[in-house]
Amino acid sequence: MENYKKLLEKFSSACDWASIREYKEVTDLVMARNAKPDQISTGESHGVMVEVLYGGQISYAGTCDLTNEGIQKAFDKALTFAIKTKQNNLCNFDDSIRPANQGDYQTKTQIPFEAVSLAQLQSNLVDITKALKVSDEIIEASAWAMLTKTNINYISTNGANWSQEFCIVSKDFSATASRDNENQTRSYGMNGRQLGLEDIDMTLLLKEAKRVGSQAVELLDAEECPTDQLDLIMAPDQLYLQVHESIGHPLELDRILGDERNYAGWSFIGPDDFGKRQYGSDLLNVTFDPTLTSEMASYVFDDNGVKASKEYLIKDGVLLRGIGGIESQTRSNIPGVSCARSCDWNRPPMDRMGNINIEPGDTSIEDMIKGVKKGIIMYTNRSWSIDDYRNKFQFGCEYAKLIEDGKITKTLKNPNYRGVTDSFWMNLDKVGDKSTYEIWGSPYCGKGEPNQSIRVGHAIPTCLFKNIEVFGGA
Amino acid sequence: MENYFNQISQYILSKKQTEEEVTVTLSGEKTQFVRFNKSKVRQSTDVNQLNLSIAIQKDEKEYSFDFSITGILDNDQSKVDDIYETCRSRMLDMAKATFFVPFKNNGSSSVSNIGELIEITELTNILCDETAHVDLAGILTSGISYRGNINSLGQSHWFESASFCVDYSLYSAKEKAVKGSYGGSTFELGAFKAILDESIRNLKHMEKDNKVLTPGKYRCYLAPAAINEILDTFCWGGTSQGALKQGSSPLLPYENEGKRLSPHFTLNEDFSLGLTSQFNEDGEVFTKKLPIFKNGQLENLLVSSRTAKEYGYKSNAAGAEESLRSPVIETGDLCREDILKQLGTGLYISNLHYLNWSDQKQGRITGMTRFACFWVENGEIIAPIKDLRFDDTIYQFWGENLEQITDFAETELDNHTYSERTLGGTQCPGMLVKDFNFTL
Repeated sequence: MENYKKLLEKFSSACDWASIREYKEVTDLVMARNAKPDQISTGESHGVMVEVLYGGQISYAGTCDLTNEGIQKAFDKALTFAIKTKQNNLCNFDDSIRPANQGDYQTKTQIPFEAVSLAQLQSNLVDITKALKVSDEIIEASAWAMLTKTNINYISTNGANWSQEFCIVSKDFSATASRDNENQTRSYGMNGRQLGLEDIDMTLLLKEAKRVGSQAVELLDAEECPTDQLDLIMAPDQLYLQVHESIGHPLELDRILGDERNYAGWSFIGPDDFGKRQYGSDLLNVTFDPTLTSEMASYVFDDNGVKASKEYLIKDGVLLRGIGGIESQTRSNIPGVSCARSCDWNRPPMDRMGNINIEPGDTSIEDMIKGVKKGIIMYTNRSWSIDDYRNKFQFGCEYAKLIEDGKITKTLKNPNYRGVTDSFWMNLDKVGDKSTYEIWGSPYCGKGEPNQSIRVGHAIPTCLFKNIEVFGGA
Repeated sequence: MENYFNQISQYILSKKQTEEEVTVTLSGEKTQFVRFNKSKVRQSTDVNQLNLSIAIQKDEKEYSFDFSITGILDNDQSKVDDIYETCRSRMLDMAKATFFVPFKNNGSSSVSNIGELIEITELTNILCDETAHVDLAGILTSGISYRGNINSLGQSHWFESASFCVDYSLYSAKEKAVKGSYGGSTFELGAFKAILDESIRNLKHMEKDNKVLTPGKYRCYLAPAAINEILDTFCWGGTSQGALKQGSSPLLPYENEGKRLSPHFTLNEDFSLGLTSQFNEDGEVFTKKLPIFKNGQLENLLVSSRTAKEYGYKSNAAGAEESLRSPVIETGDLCREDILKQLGTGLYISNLHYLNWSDQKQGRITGMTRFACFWVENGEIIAPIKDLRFDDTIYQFWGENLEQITDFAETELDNHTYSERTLGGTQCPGMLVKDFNFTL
């Protein structure tokens, strides 16, 4: 950081404000298929992003040339752009949007990544694929794990100086069963957590692999999901994506401000909705929570250097805050959260979800099922699509159970449902208690021009929705 | 850059031991991105990035390590030293590759498509000035991309390409929008203005109140950009021999149930588009043109060396994903002037959005209409529509319900920029389809 500090001292006379964000990320990807080792590879991304404020405009230049000359060149490019296009600047910022925070953050881990070789990790994955093959009808069994370590160092001309280190384990495994012309796939569900290798708990994962393999075979005999208007219970491994697509994205302030209109889309939510709009039933409580240990997107500072804290986005069903960092808050005068993040050294920060969670309620899964006359429980997402205003959606799941007169009666295959966000969350009828609450997260949330794929977390209880349109396969 | 790649590759190859074989791959770019909202600059980012990959094979083991380099030989050599040693030590206890495909010499090539790009600040100010009277959101991307591949058996490939692309949408006061794009290697103001003027004209069509349609089956004209979206989704597993063997392909009904596509439908992998390198990540060179579907009949699937080894097929030098990189759907006989007349009464769909397999194993895709989509009656545009969700199978809209294909096609550059600019693109015609299924 001393070297960066000296460079910034030099830069400061030519601009109104500048920062250097060094970003280094190393990812090991380990795979196994059909009881045999598959590929192992490692990727490392390392560079700096220079950010320059001049005449109210912020410009960025990222470089993998980490020499002083390379960083100077990046600064010159960013400054030149800001000077020469100043008259066409959309926003007029000053350095108050870059607070001078200091500190550091590190993922809490019990077993460091280095404790186990990649070969040993692969051997564990091979065992998982063996456990998946519960019968000869399993034609494909695969497992993968991804270990990611990210280091960010940030320093600015007005005194910001902080570092963060994230350790993330992502993993999934799946089995495809086949009989005659029927093929069914069941998976554990892609998940990522901020943890060490304690997340690769082989006792648990082998048990889960047997369940996944057995359920893939079970689906070959299952009835098609009916086409009907029914009560729908969603397990956290599906509901987290519903939250992501129909609460997370529409509440992003940069979408509402129109930055995303050409790519990801706009939002059915408008600036006047905050503080007033009933987003869902009064059981709906949604938080932005960067403090939950082990959730994928926990952190202390966002990439604008703003301190992160837990905030309610929706309380008792009422929309309170947007998912917008300090720039969007300044532009819109809408309350937001510290969520300006970039996916790598070569991309600028923008409004991202972080951890978007539903707070648990007080209904047990048993009571939830008991209260359903006719309904379906759906597990594990397999398909998702939503319109550019984040309203009309359709989701598909891998596995479902039919509920009749308060009891689970049958397994169903090819379960799907569709609806409209605007009315869907009003149909939230029961929110599961702590025993149903699970932490999920995806390494791949896409958005932005240029495109950025970033990690997000969603901690979710099981929930019951009334009168949802469900349907089966082709 | 080609010289530098040769230098750093030779350094890496000089470190190899007798029993090792090594492939060095480079992917890099010098790109400027400028993001616009309300025809003003929202964010600008200059990116200078070089990524090297070293893949080592030894005793039928294989391991690859990708990493950022500075582009300065002295600095990068010391990093290479560290990473090469890490690879060697990690490979010691690794298992042998299950389907080991040894590196080989797949020949040499060098392609350079370098034009003279206009300076980024100048281009930015031109775009802002020319669009000051409209509400434009979008991105300008401009720069050079590099791809290189050298291995210890003498293989050597290089590809570089300079291009720009303005990808935009225009918005009316009623939040109606149309989509446009302009790209290539040389910016011509007149050409850009012509495209922009057409977008502005189309936006005026959008000013009428929306026609709200109930879900159901409608006759549709799907413009080339909409077909491009469907093709993009189809490429996700649809052309992969491995996916078919592993039970996840949308062609399972074709293989197992005798379902067929329309005789109008012909799809090729065609590198004569010149938008991306003909060599894959292993340096294997794909043939210039390979038919995938010909008149509705499956001719070839993409087979990577690894799938070939595992299932006993012959590789056709496909990439590991076995996805099309330069697909072209062949044109038909529907001329532009006859589109509305032949459509008669139905939907004119310019763009689709957020497509996904809703049932991949049955070839069913869902997605939304987006931007300028219209209700047409008796060959005349009546009104824009409120967005609709479709959910239908390739065996319907590319099968028995495909009536006609346009006699023109549009080339669309791949404008994805996750991690780096994606090279490649597609060429798609428009299609007239009956009974396209809308569900919401």
